[in-house]
Amino acid sequence: MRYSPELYAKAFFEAVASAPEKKQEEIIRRFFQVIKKNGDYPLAEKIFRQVRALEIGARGGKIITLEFAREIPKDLLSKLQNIFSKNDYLEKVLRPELVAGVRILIDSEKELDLTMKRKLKKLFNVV
Amino acid sequence: MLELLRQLGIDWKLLLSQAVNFILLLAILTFFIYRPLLRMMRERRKKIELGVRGGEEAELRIAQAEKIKEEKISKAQKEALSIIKSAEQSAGKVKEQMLAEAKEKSTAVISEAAEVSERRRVEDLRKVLSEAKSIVKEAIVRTVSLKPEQVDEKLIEKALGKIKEEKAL
Repeated sequence: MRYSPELYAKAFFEAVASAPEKKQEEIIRRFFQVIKKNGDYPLAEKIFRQVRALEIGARGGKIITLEFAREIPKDLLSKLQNIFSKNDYLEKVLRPELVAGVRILIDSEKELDLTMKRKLKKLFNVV
Repeated sequence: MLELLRQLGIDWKLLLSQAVNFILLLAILTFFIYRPLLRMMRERRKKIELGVRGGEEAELRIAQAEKIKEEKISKAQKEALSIIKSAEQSAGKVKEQMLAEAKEKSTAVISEAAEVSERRRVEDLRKVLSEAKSIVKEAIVRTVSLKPEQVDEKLIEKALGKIKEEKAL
């Protein structure tokens, strides 16, 4: 690993943000070449996650990950979506092991866990 | 004198010769028999006396030896008794020590067995509890899966409520 994903992401974001729209495609293509040349192509996914985080942060939003045990009705999902800001980026993940409920992660730092899995864990640790 | 002797019927020549014979005989007997005999008897007496004295001394020595022997026997008997007594005391102490050790060991074994039994009991209880937890968990999950939408809705509503509270703060 020549550079960390965070460094790559920061460099790319600053380059794209400061470049005119016409040159952005060129910048993206060259960036891929650089990653490949450095042998850091496997880090591409991490880099672009970081880029997304930077982009969302720049517009004042947060990355919100909503984890459910199964597909939930659209009305419930939209209730959840509406409670967050329009600048926030929402992503949905299905994890059947949660049994029921929702787990909300904000910027991968803050967590709100209202899943049946957590309730069961709490219950059986006390008993 | 001579007349007296004649009247008595004693011939002085015969008497003299008989006297001479007697003296001669006496001398001969004295020198050749009496003195050797006396010497022999003296020597014999000495030997006998020596023998008797030796015998007495031997008897004395025997008596002394007997006395020493008895003293030694008595001493040996006392020593033997003392050794036996000491051995008995030692044996008694060893026996007591062995009994005490055996008692201690048996107590330790019993205590260990009790500990092992208790540990097993606790382990068994833990297993049963763990199995019971799994069963109850499984039951709850299955119950939820019967009507998951209702559970989802309740929990999501709760999550919404909490987010609104935090935003209000």
